[in-house]
Amino acid sequence: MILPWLLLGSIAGIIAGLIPGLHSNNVAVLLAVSPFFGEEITIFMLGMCITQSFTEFIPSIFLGAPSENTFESILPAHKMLLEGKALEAVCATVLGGIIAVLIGSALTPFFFSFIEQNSQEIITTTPFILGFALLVFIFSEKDLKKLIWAAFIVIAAASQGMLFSNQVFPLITGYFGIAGTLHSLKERPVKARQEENAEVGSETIGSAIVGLIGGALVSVMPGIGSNTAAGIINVFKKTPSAKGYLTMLGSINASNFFFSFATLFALSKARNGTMLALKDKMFFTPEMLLIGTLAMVTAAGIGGLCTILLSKKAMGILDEQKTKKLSIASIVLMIILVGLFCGTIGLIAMIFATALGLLTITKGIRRSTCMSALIVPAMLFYIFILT
Amino acid sequence: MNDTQLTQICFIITIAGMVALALTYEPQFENSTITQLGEKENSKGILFGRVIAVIENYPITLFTLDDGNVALIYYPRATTLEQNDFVKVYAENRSEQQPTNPSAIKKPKKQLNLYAQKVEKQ
Repeated sequence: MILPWLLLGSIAGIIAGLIPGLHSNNVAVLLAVSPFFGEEITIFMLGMCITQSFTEFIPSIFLGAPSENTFESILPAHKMLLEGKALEAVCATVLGGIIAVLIGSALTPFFFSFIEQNSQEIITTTPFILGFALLVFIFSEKDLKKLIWAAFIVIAAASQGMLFSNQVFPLITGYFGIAGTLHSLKERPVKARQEENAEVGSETIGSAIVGLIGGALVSVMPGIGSNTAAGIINVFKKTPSAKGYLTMLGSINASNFFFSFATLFALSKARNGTMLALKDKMFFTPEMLLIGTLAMVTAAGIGGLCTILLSKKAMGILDEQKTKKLSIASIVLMIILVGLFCGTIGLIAMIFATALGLLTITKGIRRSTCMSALIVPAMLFYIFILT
Repeated sequence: MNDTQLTQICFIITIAGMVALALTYEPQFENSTITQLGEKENSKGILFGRVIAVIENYPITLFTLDDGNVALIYYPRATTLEQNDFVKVYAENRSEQQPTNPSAIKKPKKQLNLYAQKVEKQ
């Protein structure tokens, strides 16, 4: 019976999602060297990854809320937290993920056909899309001073990305985790009573569809993750609201993983650590594709359910003092995890990334500009493989 | 849609997915023999046997397996198999599978050609 394996995988995914820095890819690497093989371990890993793609929004939404002085430069989730709409932020990400997985499962045969015929064209146009996104990061700043700072941050982040090319986790932790959380400790956070009910309307469905398409394309591109995709899509298509952006992000996150499973079948190419581990562990049969798809849809339901329920619990126990304590604990945990998984080099990369992240926040520059650390190395990678 | 309705939708998806999985899932590979796989096209099974000869092992592996009967096994990965190794093979009888190795074509016509999803040395 594979249902117990799916449930075990989902529990592993929930735990991985709630711990900042722990990713299903880390667990997949451990499983890759294990003697397990076949449907059970495949279902475990798929369940873990899809569930984690939902629950990992909980620590990012509830920890590290900045104050009203930095309101304009913070990520949409924190904006909604300040408005007392943390539950709505969570529900927006869940809605995006659910739509992505349900529509994605219906579109899988078309996706197969599309990537078999167009994968090379997608890879050829990717460096141009990435380069254009970098230019927009800089020139979308209307103030000349901010434009110069944005250019500086793009160059600095790109340098860090190339210098610490195997330290993606420490860099992301520094830019988006520790920098924001440290800044929130310095500033007095706005006290907002969290609303106990949330509304996610049909206006966000368009954002979910955009996210689904973005996640599907990104699942074919090596070196481009969900965060990079979201940053680039946001450059080309401004989402009308924070809720819409979060729905798009939830959709990208789930569909990126969902379609990477189909990509593995269609092209025999792995696009993330979990798929790389699965490549040696599963059977490449039509039955496995069907079972895998059903398992991921089920795991999406479990992930969405647990994310909403856990968020309601988190709202019930968080107040200003506990938020501060949790923020400090979160910083300590991130530092420990970076040290454990990435060693001294990782800690050094994290320190530099944190410094740049803090500079980005204090200068009021969009924090997604720091994604240059991933975009420029990816661009160079594509130019290298195309030449 | 409010959070309660979204929770209910997630619950329904979970239950529906579990029911669909429970109804559609069947173990793909169960213990079998070369004779049993040969009786039906597109059948799958786990074979236990001895390697009689390794024709190729890089970049693909082509070898003959003996479990009382002999079959030619095609495995699309490199291995370190050697003659007389005991192996466990997750095999399929794919009706379209044709070996490309010329020496294999010289084998007796009744020998079964099987595709392996996984080969494990015992």
